[in-house]
Amino acid sequence: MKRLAIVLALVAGCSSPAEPAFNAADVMFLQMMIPHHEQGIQMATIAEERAARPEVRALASAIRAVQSDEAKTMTTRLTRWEQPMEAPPGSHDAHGGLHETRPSDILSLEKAPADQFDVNFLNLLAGHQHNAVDMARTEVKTGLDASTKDLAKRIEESRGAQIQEMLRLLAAPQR
Amino acid sequence: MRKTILSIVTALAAVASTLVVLTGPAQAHGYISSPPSRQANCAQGRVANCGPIIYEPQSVEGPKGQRNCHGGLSQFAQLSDESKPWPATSVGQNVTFNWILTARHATSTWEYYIGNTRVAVFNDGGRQPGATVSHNVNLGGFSGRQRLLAIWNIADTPMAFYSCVDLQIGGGGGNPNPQPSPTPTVTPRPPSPTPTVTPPPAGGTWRTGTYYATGSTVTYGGATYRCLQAHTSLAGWEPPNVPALWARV
Repeated sequence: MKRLAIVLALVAGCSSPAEPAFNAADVMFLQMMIPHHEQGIQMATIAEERAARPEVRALASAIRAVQSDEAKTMTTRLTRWEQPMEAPPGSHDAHGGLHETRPSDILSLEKAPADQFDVNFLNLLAGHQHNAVDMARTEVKTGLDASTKDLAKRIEESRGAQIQEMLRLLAAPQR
Repeated sequence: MRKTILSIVTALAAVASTLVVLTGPAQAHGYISSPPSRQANCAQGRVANCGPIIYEPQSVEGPKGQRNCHGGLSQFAQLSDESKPWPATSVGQNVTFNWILTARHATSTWEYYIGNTRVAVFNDGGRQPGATVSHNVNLGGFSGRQRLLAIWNIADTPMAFYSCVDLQIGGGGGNPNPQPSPTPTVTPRPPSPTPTVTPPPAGGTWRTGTYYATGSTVTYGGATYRCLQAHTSLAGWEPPNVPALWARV
């Protein structure tokens, strides 16, 4: 009986039965969000160097700092839960991968002409963050682990606010 | 023991519900960001009482062939409400329209209408759009206040995405997004303007939409925090939640 309890605890991915439980939605959210964050960090890093407007550079720097931190937290959590960093291949491209930012999109941002850079960056990152909001909402609805759902709530809120800021920057005269 | 089994059952139930969520029809695909479309103005908070469009400005998807701002979707009907105070952007005869895409569907055409006149069409021939999409459109002699309707026609579904943009054409107003003159000449970057920033009240309470310089301090939830990196504050970036930006003093 005792042995069975240990086996079950291992199956559930807990190092001790007293640890808070998590579910498949939590794991999937982290597995999808980590690479999504990495792409956001890549775009922000390019913008820190190339953006013409100081407000755009400042936003990019703050996004890079916050998302690097969040990516570390998420990676640590998956490791502690003894879960793989990546979802099984094909498990999250239900929509044909159309919602993903492609590596070629980041490459074309890197190569954007100087006078188009800010507009391209803001439009690309806003689309990327819209998708983060969608993933975060799914986690808030279907996740189990309280701290992961908390993180998802903050991602939903802060990315929503970033999109508003980016729309404001896109609408404002560039001078 | 019972608790562990329960948590496994819960986990399995969650797997099932996750599968449903992930394979369900994904919404949300694209809209015009600048000059701001009606849904962009709603999402940004420039126009109030827009309804649920503020959460998903990218979701105005309806059957092809319509000529309205809300894609025929009752939940987004406010987008076609002409009594709302839609701000119009001052532009000249040539305007660059920029899109935010959240899914890159194979595309047949992008159409731009003023009234019943199609002022521009771009045929993508079924290709997937690139990283960003922008079109330079000549407004064909229209002037004064006009409502432009842009339609993104998807190649492999019967659906399209709709965005209305309110414009004030001519009258000295220039394109607020001086974008690509189509010539590939790189204009030298003008001297960086000083960002207009409101200095935060020293030691004041943290608020959103405020520029904080590195080293400035705020109070939040009874504690004091020092800014580690200059930024404009946002909801969701409260000092205790973002150790990358704030250190507790």
